[in-house]
This record gives sequence, structure tokens and C-alpha cells, in this order.
Amino acid sequence: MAKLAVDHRVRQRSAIVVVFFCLLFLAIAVRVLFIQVGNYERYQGIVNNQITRESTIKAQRGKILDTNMEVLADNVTVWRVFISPHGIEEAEKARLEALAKGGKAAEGVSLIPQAELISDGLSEILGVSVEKINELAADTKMLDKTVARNVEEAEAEAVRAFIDAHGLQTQIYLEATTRRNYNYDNLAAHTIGFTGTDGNGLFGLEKKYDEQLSGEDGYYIVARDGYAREMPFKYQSYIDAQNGANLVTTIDLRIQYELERQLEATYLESGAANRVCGVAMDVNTGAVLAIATKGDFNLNDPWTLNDESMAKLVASGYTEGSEEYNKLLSELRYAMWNNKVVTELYEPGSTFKIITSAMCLEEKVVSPSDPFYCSGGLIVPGWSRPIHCHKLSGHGHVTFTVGLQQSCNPVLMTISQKLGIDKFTSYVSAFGYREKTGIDLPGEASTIFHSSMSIVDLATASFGQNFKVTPIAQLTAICAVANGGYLVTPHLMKAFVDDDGNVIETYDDSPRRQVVSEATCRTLIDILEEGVSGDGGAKNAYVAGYRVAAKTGTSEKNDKFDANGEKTLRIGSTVGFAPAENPQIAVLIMVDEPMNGSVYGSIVAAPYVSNFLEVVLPYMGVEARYTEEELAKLEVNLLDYTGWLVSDAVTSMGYVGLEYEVIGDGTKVTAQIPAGGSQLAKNTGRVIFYTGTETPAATVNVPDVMGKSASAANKMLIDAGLNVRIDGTQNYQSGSGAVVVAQSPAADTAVAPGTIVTVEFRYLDGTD
Amino acid sequence: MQERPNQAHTPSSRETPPQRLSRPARPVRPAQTSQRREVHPVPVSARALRQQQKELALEERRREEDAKYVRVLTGIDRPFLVIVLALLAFGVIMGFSASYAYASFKYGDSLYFFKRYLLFAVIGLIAMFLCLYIPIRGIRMLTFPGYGFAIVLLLLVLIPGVGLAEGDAQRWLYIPGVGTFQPSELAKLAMIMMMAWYLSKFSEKITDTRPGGHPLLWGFGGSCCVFGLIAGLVALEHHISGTIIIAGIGVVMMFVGRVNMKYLFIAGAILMVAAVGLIVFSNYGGTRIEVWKMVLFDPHSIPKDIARDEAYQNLQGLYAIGSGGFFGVGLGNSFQKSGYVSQPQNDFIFSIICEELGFVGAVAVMALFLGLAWRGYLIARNAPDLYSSLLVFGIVTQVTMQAILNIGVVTALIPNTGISLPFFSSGGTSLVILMTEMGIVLSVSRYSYQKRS
Repeated sequence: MAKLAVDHRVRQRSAIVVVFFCLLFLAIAVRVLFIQVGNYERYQGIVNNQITRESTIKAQRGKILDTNMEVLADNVTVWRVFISPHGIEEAEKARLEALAKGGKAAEGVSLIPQAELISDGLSEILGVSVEKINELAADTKMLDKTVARNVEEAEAEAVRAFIDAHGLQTQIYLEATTRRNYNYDNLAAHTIGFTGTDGNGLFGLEKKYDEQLSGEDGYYIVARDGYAREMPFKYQSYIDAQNGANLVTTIDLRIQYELERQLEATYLESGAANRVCGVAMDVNTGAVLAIATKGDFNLNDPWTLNDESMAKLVASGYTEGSEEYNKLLSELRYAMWNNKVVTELYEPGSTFKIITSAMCLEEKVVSPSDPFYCSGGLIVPGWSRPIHCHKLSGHGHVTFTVGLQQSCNPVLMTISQKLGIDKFTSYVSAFGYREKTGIDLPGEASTIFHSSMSIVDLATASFGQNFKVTPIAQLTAICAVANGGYLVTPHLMKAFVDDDGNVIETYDDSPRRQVVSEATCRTLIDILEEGVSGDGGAKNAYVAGYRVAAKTGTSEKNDKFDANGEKTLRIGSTVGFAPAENPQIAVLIMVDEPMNGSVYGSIVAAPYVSNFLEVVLPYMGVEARYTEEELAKLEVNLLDYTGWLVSDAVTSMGYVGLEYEVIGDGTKVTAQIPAGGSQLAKNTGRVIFYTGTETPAATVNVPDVMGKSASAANKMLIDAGLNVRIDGTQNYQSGSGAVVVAQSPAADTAVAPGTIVTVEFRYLDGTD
Repeated sequence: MQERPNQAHTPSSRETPPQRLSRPARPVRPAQTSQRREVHPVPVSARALRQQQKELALEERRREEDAKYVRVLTGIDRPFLVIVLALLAFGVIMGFSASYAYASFKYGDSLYFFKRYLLFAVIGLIAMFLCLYIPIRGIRMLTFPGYGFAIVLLLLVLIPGVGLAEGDAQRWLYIPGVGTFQPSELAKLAMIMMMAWYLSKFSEKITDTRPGGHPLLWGFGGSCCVFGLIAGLVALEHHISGTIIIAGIGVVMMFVGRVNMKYLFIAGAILMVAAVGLIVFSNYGGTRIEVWKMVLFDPHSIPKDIARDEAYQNLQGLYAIGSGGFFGVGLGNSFQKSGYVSQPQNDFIFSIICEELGFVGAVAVMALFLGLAWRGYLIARNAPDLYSSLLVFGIVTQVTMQAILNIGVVTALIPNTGISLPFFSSGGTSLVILMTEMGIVLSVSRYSYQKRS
């Protein structure tokens, strides 16, 4: 029989301690229950958030292509360079440890601190300041600090070499991203537009079709542990990016290039203060083949002002960086980016007479042969003074046909009065002027037109003054005349295609409505064509081999004053379409505020329409059909006869139909003027062959033909033993007004006989 | 009632020498003296009589209870062994689960900590079974050498160049071939042994509240010296958690060893004031407390920089616990162990257990520790003498207290101190010492008084 050895008080006290322990465990269990069950969802959310990384897989932005699938805008790979401050710190620790250990461990260990090595190296390659990189590297808890974005491949390669050379794989990283690249810099800049740093379209087509071009970004949700390694996770998911659709535009690179070349030329020549613009459309579909504004800017560097804008900024005299300076800079940028064809309004002037004529012919208030009398002005009820014709002396007795060709204001005023305000207004609406054209470019301006017209308003509106439209609306209405009366929608989108070339969407280019009858259009086109090929006001738009219908226009700017406070500012423009027998392409060139010399559309715009069509029509496959007269003037390509027997050369001359002269008595041609490959006009060309020991030693002085009429200049040059080559309007012989406006080589230059002198003719008699 | 010194004169008290009875009567309380004599009961009042009868009945029950027990040298306490083995197995499994991601990152070998765990678990098991065969007498003989040895080691560790520093704490000794070793772990055991020896040896002096007795000196002063020497040396290592644990075990053993409650309360009050003062006036502890309060009361609006720095580990622990839910994310599936809870195999392993096994797992762990405490208490209660009883209870107190403090820290109930979770947290020598202690407990259990079957 025994009992417990331990004192019962000791036992009791131990029991108290154990009970106390129990209570503590109970308290802890309650606490754990509170955290685990009470706040489970909250903590689970925190942990999920903490371990998951959602990476975006950037969708590749769609390309922008021209109608022949030439790439206008695409993407190039650039690199984001970033450092891992944490990695740098770890490496620095390892380096110091190795150095501290000394001996073998310290062999080959750099004596330069990691951060210094990296900031110096990257600064040298990327041009980022050393201080900036050091600042980034100081945040040692971070794994990713961006040093530079949009680093080009060459620099990225240098960074890679730097990493390899110093073993910085855990300290410096490169990440591939993309940058928008525009292959043709300034070409169609306003229309293509550009993207911002985030890759979203800011202007032009890039903005208009941003949604389709952007595509859809993908996601990559993955769990990562605290050491940045991936770990299995049930919510892990991968949604691939959907690349943006490629936009095939209606723009034809070749036509666009030609239009821009002509706009550039007239911009330089006219010194247009408010820029020039032009647009060419397929008359039947409304497809915009070319559209441009000058001055322009480089799409790859859109934030930099062009020279003209920069000059204005400098002229302002503001100090760089000041508030006014920045404000003006911003204003100038926006002005520079403005697509004049679509976003700016102008008074169409005489080019609108086509539309007035169309409605009057359609309503049969006039027929082509109706007689009119122009005294130089017309009294309209409601206006105290006569409204002038551009020809103040008056056109006298004219038919409607001649009146339109000569752009006679009283004729147009008379017929519009006959038509009446209501019909005029409804036709203006029918031609689409009072709605937006619906062109697929952002920021299209709305027409400003009379809400209620008076007789005077009608009179001025009949020749295109006192209301404002966009150039694109004007050309769209002209297209309706050109295509037989159908109002089309101007557009730039031809189709969207995916990366494999499958068509996703095409543009429905059916016309909006028919405005006038085909018969009316035919009549009108013939009148306009005659105004170009005959003695009309649009002679400068003539293109040999093609029948071009065109109308020039010069509108007064009634709401803007020049430097002297006078209303002398003008807009010269020309619309034209060809071929007249079956119009395919229509073009409008508009020169806003020409400053050098002539302000008339027939001078500042029509020749460039001609030059443009001369190149574009053959390119479009429109066959040239020359008249007898034109055929005679056709140029031939001169062969190189050097080394030929003189007899063979002479026979050859007979075939090509050129005059020739043989100097010397050798049997073989030793030299020729002009040289082989030159262009010579058939009817006036003359080739001089040198034989034996004769060389083209004799020289002649080039006569001064500037300002001379076409026939006079031609005679002078041929008499001097020189060849003539004509640049520009080629039908100079059909009218008397064309004079030489440029010659090359310049007067009094000594040249060999037979040298080709290039001259440029232009009609200066046309005034409207 | 047990506070009354006259209880010592009941026949059940084996330690009371008979000559105590013939001591001069206590003139201070003569009424009580007469009351105490059950041979010649002279009831002075009805109330006193009832009291006396109650005591008699109680004594009778105690006798009956004692009679059911028989002291036999039987087998070891099986439930205790089972609990120990369960904790060890659980610890090894969770240690492996918690550590493998960190181990693969840090050492390139996901089994790094697991191998160490297994190695030390095996060594620990061997140590435990060796201890089983040491008789209590043998253990008692080791008391003084052990205590001295511990003090020498604690002094050694303070010598710069011998002890290894980590941060501002200097608490490690390097033993070639074994690795680092914390003398404070060994010191805990040495302190427990010495406390058990002291409290049992001077049991009478400690409890003697009669005139001429010096319970304050013997009971309070002496015990404080025994554990205070060790605690002081550990404190010199800047090992706050170790100091707290040693002091805590010391106080509990004093309490169980029948040191007068009055002194303990006074000392406790003084300690509290000192602790609060230290916290308020020391900057280091101060920020710690601030951060702890934030984590406890408003963990979701902690400023980012603090959440990334001072509060990081505590918060990540909370996230781990919270995201476990009732049933947990499943063994091995913790996300937080992969670089979010730093060194998940160490002090914060409980948070990973909670994440993987949920509330169920957390309760299981706590239940095992409570079971250990309960069985330990029974072993102590049935121990053959006061020394072994106190020894067992001291050891059990150490394990339970560490578990409570560790889990309290991980659940943000108390400020972060750096106490490991016994059997679970990695640490080689501490596991071996822990298993040795378990061996001692089991050894004592062999001498237990057992209930008659």
C-alpha cells in the first residue's frame, strides 16, 4: 500500500499551471479561428494577389498598306532596358565577400563597385545620365527599374555585349517591345497619322481605325514565388493576344507620290501662306487615291515642327520654355498636323460653277447654246452695286458654254436666279455639301452654308462665294458630275486583312444617291473638256493625249485681311477629271493664300493638275489618244549614234523623222548633239552628227526666251541651232497666250549647237 | 487552503519530520494551534467545527485516492511516448514541406533541411532512449556538473571570437563537425535540473513560514538565484527570447515548488513594471511594440514601407494562416513558404502548418502540445519524489511555454521575440536536447506511482 510521493500542494499547483496552459491554448485557438475562418477570403485574396503576376501580351498593331499592299506603316522591334537593383545589390555583396576572402576567391573580381560599373556602362551606351541610373539602382528592393525605352537594335546589341563582357546577366535585362515605323516619313503624313507612346492612334487613320488596328491584348496569369520563379497555380491562364487587322487603304503610293510632288512644287512656287492641299479620287467609287497637305511633317518624328512652323515660333520671339512659347509650340503642332483636305473649310469659288451649271442644266433652265451678255457685272436685286465679273471689261455676247468655260460670273448669276433659291438649296444639299461626306478620317469639318438665302446670297453662291466647304466635299460633288450623277462617299479604307491575307472586311463603296442625270453630266463634261483643250480658262490643265475636264477657281477670302488690312487674300484652286469620255480620276489642288506672283487658280493650281494627270493617267492604264497635232509634237528618244556609219545614221534619221546635219567628212559618227538618250520633239528636233576629226567645238549662246510666246521662243532657239524641249503644258501652240516662264540652260550660256534647251510654257491670260 | 503552513502537520505529509510536532507552540495564533489538533478537538465554534470536519473529509479522500496508487517499476508512459513520436513525425513532415522551396532556392537542394531534420531526429531518438536507462539517481547526480558546464559554455559564448555573433546577438558556439550550437538550449535543461534539486532539497525551508523561518530568503531568493544566474548570462548574449523562457520556467517552477504566492505576486508586479518601462523607454522594443500593435489590430492599413520591412514577416505569417481556411490548401501546397514567409522552416513554421492544414492542423498541433503537457503533468504528479516531479514538470513547462509563445508570436498575439516551435522549427542541437529531455521525462515515468489495475 502506497500513496503518491509528491505533495498534494505541488500537484495542485501543477494542475493550476496545466489549466492555465489550456486556457492560453484556447485563446490562441480562438485567435487562429478568427484569422483563418473569419478573414479567410480576405487573406486568400491577399495571397493570390501577392503570388500572381498578370503579364500583358501586347497585340501587334496592324500594318497600314497602300492599295497595292505596299507597307506604309508597320512595327519594328525596339528594346526596353531595365536593371534589377536587387540583383545589383546581391552581386555587390558577392563581390565584396570575394574581395574580403582574398586569395583565390578574389581572382578576377572587379575592383569597381557594381552600381558604378553599370551606371557608367549604360550611360555611355544609352545616353542616360549616370546620376539617374544610380538613383534607380538605389531602390534595392526592386527587381525592375526601367533605364530606357525604345532602344534601337544597335544600342541593344551594345548593351548585350556589355552584359556579356562583365557577366551582368542578373543585373541588366532587355525586353523586346515594338515601335511604330512609317516607311515613307512625310508621305501622306496627315492622313496616315501617328500613335502615342502607349501605341494608341492619335491622328489620321491611326486614330480612326485604332480599334481595328490595335487588336486585343492577351493575358498571362501566372503564380510566382518570392524568388520570381513560376510555380503551379490553379488559376494560371494564358490568353493569346489577337493581333490588329491590317488596313489596306485606297491610297496608291505612286499617285500619292505624284500628287505630293506637284503640291510641293506649287507650294514652293506660290509661297502659299496657309499651305496647299490636294486630293485625288476614283470618281466611281469615292476611293481616295491620293491626299496630301503641304507643309507636312515626318511621321517618324511628328512632334518636331517643320521648317515653316519653326520659323513662326522663332519669329514670335518668345523665350524657349516660357509659357507662351509652349502654348504657341503646341498650337503650331496642331496646325501642322491638320489635314487641310478634311478639317479646313474654304470658299470653293469658280470650281463651284460646275455644280451650279449641273443643277441648271438638269432643271433645264439653261441649255449650252443659250446666249448671254456680260457687261462686266450684274445688278442683283437687294444689292446696290453690280456684282462684278472677274473680267471687269465683260465677256460680251457669249453662249452658256463659252460663259462657263470663261468662268463668267453674270452668266452663272443669271441662270441661278432662274433656278430659284429653293431648288438651288436643295441641290446643294443633294450634292452632299450640307452633310459630312463621311470620309473615314477624324475631324471632318461641316459646311458653313446660308440657313436662309437671299437673292444676293444666291447670286454670290452661284459662283462659289460666301459659303464654305471642305476640299473633300467639293471634290466629292465634282465626282458626282464626273461619274454620271452619283454621289459617292470618299473613303480611305479599302479592306481589312489579317496577317495571312484573309479579307476580314471590305468597304461598301456603293453611291449614296443619284443627284443629276447622266445626260446632264455628259453635256457638262464636254463643255468643261472644251474649256481645257479649247480656249477656256482651264487651258493650263491640258494633257497631251488625254481629254481632261477641268475648272479653275480663285476665291476671295472675305473673312481674313492681309498685312495691310485689305481683303486681297485669295485661294487658287483647280478641279479636274479625266479622261473626259469616261472619267476615272478626279483631282483637286488648292493653294491657300499664294504670296508670290499670281493668285489665280489657273496659274497656281491648273498646271500642276496637268502635270499630275500626265503622269497618273498612263499609270492608271488610260490609253493616250493623240490628235494629229499632238502626234507631230511627240518626242522621240534619240539613240546614241556614236560609232555608226554616217550612212546608217542618216537612214535612221529618216525613220524617226528628225532633221539632221552632218559636220565633217568622215565615214563614222564620232560625236552627236544632242547626246544619245535625249528627248527630242519630232517636229522641231535637229540632230548634229560630227564625223572624222570634227568635234563640237563651236559654241552658241543661248538666247533669252523668257516671257516670249511659244512660237517666238521656239523660232529663236531653233534659229540659234539649239533643240527645244517643252516642260509643262504642251499644247502651247493652240493658244496665243502661253509664254515661257522658265528656261534651262539660262540665257547667254555658251553651249554646243544642238543642245537641248528646256523651256516651260504657261498661259497667263486666264484669270479665274 | 494549501497556503496554510499548518497543513504540513497532517499525517499525509511524508516530508514532515515528527520532531516538528514538539516545537514550541506558536504564541501568535494559539486558537489555531488548538484547532489543528484533531486528537483533542476542542471546537471553539460551529463554523470552526464545520471547517475541521471538511478538512477531515478531504484528508480521508486523499488517503483513499493515494491508496489506489502503487509505486511500481513498470514500463514507460506509453501515451507520452506516442505524443512525443507523433510530434516528432509531424515536425519532420511539416519541416520538410515548409523548407523544400526555400532549400531549393538557397542550397539548390530541396531536401537540404529534410536531411538535417532526419539526422537530428535520429540522433534525438537515440539520445531519448539512452536517457530512458539512466535512473533518476543518475540524472540527479548530473545536476551540479550540468549546471556548471552550462555556465562555462554561457561564459565562453560571450568571449569575442569564440562565440559567433548574428546581428547584435552573440549566442552561438561553433563545434567542429557538428555545426553551430546554442548553449542557452543546454542551459535551460541545466537550470531546470538545478531548480528541481534546489526546490526539493530545501522544500521545508522554502515553505517554512513560522517564526525563525526564512521563506523569502530560501524560497524566493534562493530560487531566483538559481535561474537568475542562467537568465542573466543569457541576457548578456542579447538573447531576449531565451531570457524570457528561462525566467518563465523559473517562475513556474517556483510556483509549483511551493514558493509563497505573496512573493511571486510582488516579484511578478515588479517584473511587469520593469518590462513595461523597458518597452516604453527603449527605442528598439518600442518600435517593435508599435509594429506589433499595428499587425494585431489593423493589419490591412499598415503603411507600405513598414509592411515591406519591420512588419513583413508578421504580416506574411498572418497571410499564410488566413489563406489556409478551415481545411487548408493541402499538405505541400503552401504558396507563402515559397519566398514570402522568409525562412519558413524556422520560427514561423506554424503559419505554414495553418496554411497547408488549415484550422484542423493548427488545432492538431496545439492538441499534441496540450497532450504532452497533460501527460507530463500526470508523470510529475505520480513521480517517486519531489525532485523528479519538479524536473518533469519543468521540462514539460519549457516545451509548452515555448509552443505557446511561438504560436502567440506567429498569430501576432504577442510581439515578435524569436522563439522556435519545439519539434517543428529546424535546429539541430536544440532538437537533440529536446529529445534528451523527453527521455528524462520517460525515464521518470518508469518510477511512477501507477493506479492499481
